[in-house]
Amino acid sequence: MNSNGKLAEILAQYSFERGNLVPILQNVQEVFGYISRDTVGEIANHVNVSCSDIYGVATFYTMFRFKPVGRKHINVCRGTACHVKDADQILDQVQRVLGINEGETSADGEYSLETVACIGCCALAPCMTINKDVHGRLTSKKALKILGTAVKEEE
Amino acid sequence: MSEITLKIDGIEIKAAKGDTVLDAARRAGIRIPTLCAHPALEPLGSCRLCIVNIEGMRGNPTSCTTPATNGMVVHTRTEEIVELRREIIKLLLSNHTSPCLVCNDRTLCEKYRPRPLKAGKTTRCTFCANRDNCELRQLVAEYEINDFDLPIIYKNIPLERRDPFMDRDYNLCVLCGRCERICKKIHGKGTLSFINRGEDARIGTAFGLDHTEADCKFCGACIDICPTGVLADRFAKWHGAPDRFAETSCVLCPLGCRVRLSLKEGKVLGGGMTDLSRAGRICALGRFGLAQLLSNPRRLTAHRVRIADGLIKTDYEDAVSEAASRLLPFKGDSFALLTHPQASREEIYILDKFTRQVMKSKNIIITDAATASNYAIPAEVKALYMTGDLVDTADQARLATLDALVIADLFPSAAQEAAHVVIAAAALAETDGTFVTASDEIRPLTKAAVPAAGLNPDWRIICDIAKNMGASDFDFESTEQIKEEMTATGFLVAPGKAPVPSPLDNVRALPQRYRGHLISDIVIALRDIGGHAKPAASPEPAPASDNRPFRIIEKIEVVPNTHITTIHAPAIAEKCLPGQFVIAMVSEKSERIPYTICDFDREKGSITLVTLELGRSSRELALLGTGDCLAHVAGPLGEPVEVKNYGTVVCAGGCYGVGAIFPIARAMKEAGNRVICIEEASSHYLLHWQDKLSAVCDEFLIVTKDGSVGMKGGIQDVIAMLVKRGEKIDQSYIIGCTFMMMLVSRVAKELAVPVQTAMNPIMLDGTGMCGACRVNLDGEMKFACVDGPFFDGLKIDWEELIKRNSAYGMQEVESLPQSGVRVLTLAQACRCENK
Ligand code: SF4
Ligand code: SF4
Ligand code: SF4
Ligand code: FES
Ligand code: FES
Repeated sequence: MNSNGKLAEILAQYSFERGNLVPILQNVQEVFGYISRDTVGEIANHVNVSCSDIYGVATFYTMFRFKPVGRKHINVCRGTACHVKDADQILDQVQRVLGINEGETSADGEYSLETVACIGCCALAPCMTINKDVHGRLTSKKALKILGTAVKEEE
Repeated sequence: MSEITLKIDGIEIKAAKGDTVLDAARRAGIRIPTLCAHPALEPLGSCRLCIVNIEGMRGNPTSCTTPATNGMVVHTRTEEIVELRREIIKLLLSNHTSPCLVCNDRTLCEKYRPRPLKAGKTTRCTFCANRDNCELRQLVAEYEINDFDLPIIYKNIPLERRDPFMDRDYNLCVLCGRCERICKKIHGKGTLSFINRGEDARIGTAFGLDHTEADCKFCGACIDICPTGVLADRFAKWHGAPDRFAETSCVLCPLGCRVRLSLKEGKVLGGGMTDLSRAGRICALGRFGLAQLLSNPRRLTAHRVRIADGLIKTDYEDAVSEAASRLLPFKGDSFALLTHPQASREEIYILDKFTRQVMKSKNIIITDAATASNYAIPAEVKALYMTGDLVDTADQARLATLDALVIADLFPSAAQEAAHVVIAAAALAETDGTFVTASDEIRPLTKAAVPAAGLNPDWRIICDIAKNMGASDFDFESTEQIKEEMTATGFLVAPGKAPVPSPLDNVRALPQRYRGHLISDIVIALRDIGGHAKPAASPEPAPASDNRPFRIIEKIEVVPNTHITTIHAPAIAEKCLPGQFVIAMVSEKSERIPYTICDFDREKGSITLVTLELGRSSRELALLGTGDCLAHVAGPLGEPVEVKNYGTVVCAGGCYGVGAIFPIARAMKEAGNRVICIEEASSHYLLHWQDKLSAVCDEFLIVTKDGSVGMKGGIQDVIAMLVKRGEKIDQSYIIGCTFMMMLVSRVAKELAVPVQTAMNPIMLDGTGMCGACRVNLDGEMKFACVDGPFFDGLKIDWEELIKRNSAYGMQEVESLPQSGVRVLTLAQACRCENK
């Protein structure tokens, strides 16, 4: 089924009410991985509000993303435990190595980078995840190594 | 109205049921400050400025959202309330770029700079187009705030100026939400919304799209309701506050919307809604187009008559009598008169009367404004009068075969090349009358603007021609007299058809033509509307070894508006000395503008220029990026400073001067001086090059207007401090805006400190070098371009200099480009992709 069809299917489950906005957005993100300009347009028509309002609501919640995730989605933890162990330095390192900023996806669609409040692995602080794999007790060097292998693997 | 009675500040007040406490207070003339509230909007209650104390109620309710009830006792100005309001204002100011508000030199600054300076980004009030109308400034004055408790947070949101008609600088936004509420109120689904949350919360469109892509109607309501300078009408912004408003009707399409014109010194700055509601809405042409049609550089200002092969300028009387004698021989149906429906009823009546009664012809044709000019001239016609560019393009050749062609118009056209007489006309808000709308309502047109000397409206032109031909019934002194006669004769002007789709709902359905001219040829910004092209694919960055002359090796906006551009120019780098400048042309068509050299590297063959984006030419340079080339750079020019060991040398700079003092400080240090560098900025977010300057001096001092870093004050205060602590200053170099150098020179004179001040090239922006750079040095005339840039600050007649600089003000404002900025370079293109 093409993406238009899938979107129509999602929208069909909800009545035309503003109150359904967040569940719709959640559902769309689950299916498509992110919320695109086109889907915002369709949703806007469905619940009869402007695109900017949809975008306003969506950006109010941290859970929504507006660019497709990369094939390797990286989450750097900035929770308290990681923060005191210099998570910012890890984030800097990752940004440098991948050449993208937090919230961005690399041009080739390979990597995307986000930060999270806490992964729940405080014992391993500072840590990050690449897709479902957790990497803990990071140092700048270790992060470089992990990403280096990740970069290599795909070549 | 069912009445209630309440007591506010001890006064018994009768209010209507349904009134809020704020409404009731206003009825009694009691002022409660507000920000998010606006008479055209439903209250939101978010800014909390309007808090009051109500007996028996807990907390301090917001009066804009609290219903007034019978017997209520309200206090609006208790000590506690006033103190809380001051806190709220200070909090607002920490998110607003207004260091000028607490500047010690504010009064003098505004006296010497009566109009704000036309900068790119608004980093302070002096650079704010809204300065004269700002509600925050009023609040600060009312609550006597002279210091900030919290430093200003400059958010560094990119300036949004890609759209037609409006510029947006959200660094000034206080999140009152008026704009997004008025947009929704008027258009249902709005273009603007609150987006993001917490610290990142701001107003914007979905995905940061341009307004042209976000269904904006360009009605301008958001601009008109914004209490601060975030949103600005690009055309009107640097003219200052209007001195007059006038209600009229727009005649550009048959809807004939009510428009509230804002005027300054007889010139229309813009249109606006008479009522900020859905019913009162107007389109982009009513809001911005009318003003730009009237005050347009392409307006015809001279009348012309044909002598042999050429059209030569003449005065109005001569043009009228020439028109009369050309047309007179063609009475009967060999004469035709062509006019347009964007005219008053009185005008159409008088043109009709002239055609039928004086010219004895039945050929009076009113073209269709919506479509292209569409009149094919019948074979029998030998003489034609038309009030615009109204003949079919296919029929243009036919014009040359006419025995007489008289055109009354506002703008040039190809048809005029074949004309025997061209009369420049006054129109729209330059004349009055009445207009019949698509809904068959008769609406008044008001004469509000002052036309250029010698220009008359169409009705008067035709009356004068008729009288010149000897007709007796054309002695009208006003449109009122014409209307009386028209009514008596039962003359009717048929209403036009309402356009579908309506320009009110769709910016792509705006009226296309005025008097037959494509409006987008005249109001250039209109070209930006309609699925506009995205910036062209970024050019590949040029390889590092690229040696094209005047290539930009590096270009950064070091702080908002201050651009540092390093250019490949080995010949200049080879020779240049501290204190010198270059003259550059950004493109082949640009003016030649002086730019200050703030660094040079003889080995690499590069020079570095510093510019403040403040006007047209500096904007051109500001918009270039790494890899671009300047068309030409000449230099080094000007007298270098005399480098030797003076003892103690002060090098002080503000704005662009921070960069400009660097090579001087470096040379003075190398010559063995004890160097003290002073950097002045309005606020912390404008400080730059601290490291570079620190490295070339013995002492580095910072002074800010708002006291956010270093001393509070200006360079003059630091110099006074230095003298007070016993420093003997043997020489000083001061570079920055003329106003700052004047302040420093005054203090230096009192303290007998020698000062060399650099005549400020950016102050001459847009005027070139000649004459404008004259400096009066103790009665002796000097020229900055040859004798300068440095002059003894103690001898300069500063008052005269500042006056001369501002004399060029209006010309420069008018030369600013009106279309949205489409940035093509690599650096800028990717920045736009940021949210
Ligand atoms: S110009 Fe009018 S339509 Fe566009 S954002 Fe402002 S209020 Fe909305
Ligand atoms: S842009 Fe102006 S009107 Fe809109 S929220 Fe900001 S300050 Fe208020
Ligand atoms: S729709 Fe626009 S052009 Fe037409 S009358 Fe109204 S404001 Fe003027
Ligand atoms: S004016 Fe009442 S809360 Fe803003
Ligand atoms: S008030 Fe203008 S710089 Fe201070």
